[in-house]
Amino acid sequence: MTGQASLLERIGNGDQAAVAQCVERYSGLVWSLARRFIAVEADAEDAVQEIFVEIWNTAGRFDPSKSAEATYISMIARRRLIDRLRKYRREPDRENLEDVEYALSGDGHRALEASAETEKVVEVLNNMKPEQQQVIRMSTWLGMSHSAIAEETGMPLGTVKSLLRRGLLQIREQLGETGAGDGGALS
Amino acid sequence: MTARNDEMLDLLVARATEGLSPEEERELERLLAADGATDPQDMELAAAAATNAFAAGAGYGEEMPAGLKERLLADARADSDTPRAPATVTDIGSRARRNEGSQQSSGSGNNGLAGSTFNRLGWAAAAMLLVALLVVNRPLPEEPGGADPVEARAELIREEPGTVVLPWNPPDIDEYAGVSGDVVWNNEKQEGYLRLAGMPTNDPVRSQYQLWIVDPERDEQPVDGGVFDIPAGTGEVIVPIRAKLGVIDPQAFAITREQPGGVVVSDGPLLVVASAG
Repeated sequence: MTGQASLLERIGNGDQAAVAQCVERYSGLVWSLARRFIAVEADAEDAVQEIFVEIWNTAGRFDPSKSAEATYISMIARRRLIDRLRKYRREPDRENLEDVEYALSGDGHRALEASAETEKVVEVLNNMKPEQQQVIRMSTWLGMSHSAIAEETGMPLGTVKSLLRRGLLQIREQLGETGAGDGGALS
Repeated sequence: MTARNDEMLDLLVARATEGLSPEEERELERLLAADGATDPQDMELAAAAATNAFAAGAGYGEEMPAGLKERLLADARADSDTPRAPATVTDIGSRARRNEGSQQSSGSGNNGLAGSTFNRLGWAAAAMLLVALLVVNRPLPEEPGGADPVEARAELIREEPGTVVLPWNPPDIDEYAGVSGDVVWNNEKQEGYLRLAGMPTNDPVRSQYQLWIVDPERDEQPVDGGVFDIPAGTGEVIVPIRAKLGVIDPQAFAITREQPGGVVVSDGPLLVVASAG
């Protein structure tokens, strides 16, 4: 993780070579997320430009004790994409979302470097009850709103929120170099 | 877990997964400020980690169009020439106030700015931002002489003819109703300062304040006046104005709340406005 973490730190220090490396390393991830959320390619390209500008601007705030670098990149991307969806009051394009099968087998890590953090999160997800993993997947992977998840699964909205909350708290415990989520007061 | 902690966690999860309304965002910031111990990024990072786990499991990684990658690299080069760090905010707190009371006019006298009513300017400013016009960036100027902003502001008022002092109009938005202070601006020197008391704090990870200068003489597009933060625990602050373009005849100064680093296009709302006349 140390090598990856230093990339954002180097960008924060104005290292232009690190900027280019960051684009090379994470362009596939960011572009893929943008295409999942936004159906129109030109709009997705605009979103990706916004995301990378924010990455440059906030690189100095990356803290490797809180998460892996890819997680921070994904957080910035998700934040901007969610903002866009809210701005245009839309759900993600389901045609874009459902065309890719997923499997938490750990043998399909062709695009993302299988960081230790990702492996730990995969393990946490695999240990969840099927309905909880389904809710986490529909929310974080398919980008569906809580109400849309409730409608699709038939679960009460409160159950969806509760499963999501407990699942994210479990995942949070696996993040960062130390792993334990010992810095906050949430429980 | 207390009810307040419970509400805060619900809002953090909602923000991480489907976003919050501006009202919910303000409520969350209030709860986080009162709590003081919770990392506001925790749930967003957890959601991002789950996304990456599913992405890795799917072997998902579509190749980005080559043209887009080139534009990103060009953006990065341009961005390195245009620092987006927030302006230095000086908390004047209990420091002795400068003897400027007699000069804090409404700006309606010999101020070099065209007269206009607040309503008209407020509407004009809002219209300019709401149509989401593009603002062109240029490299930020240095902070004036690296001087203490409190001292530099007082000196500008005291010694530079044509300096105007424009008080903030009573804000329309409840959360900003208690904001007071003024804008000091000298057109010839292209130098100015915001004085703000009672401004709500912001979490710079989530949002930053951004100043806009409405100058129809120059362009129908408002000029980006720079971003700044209001940290917790600050009282009255002085913020240097960092106009990205030359200002000709400013008619109003307006503050919005934007994503970190600011935006080139804003759809408001205008939180605090000072108008000329």
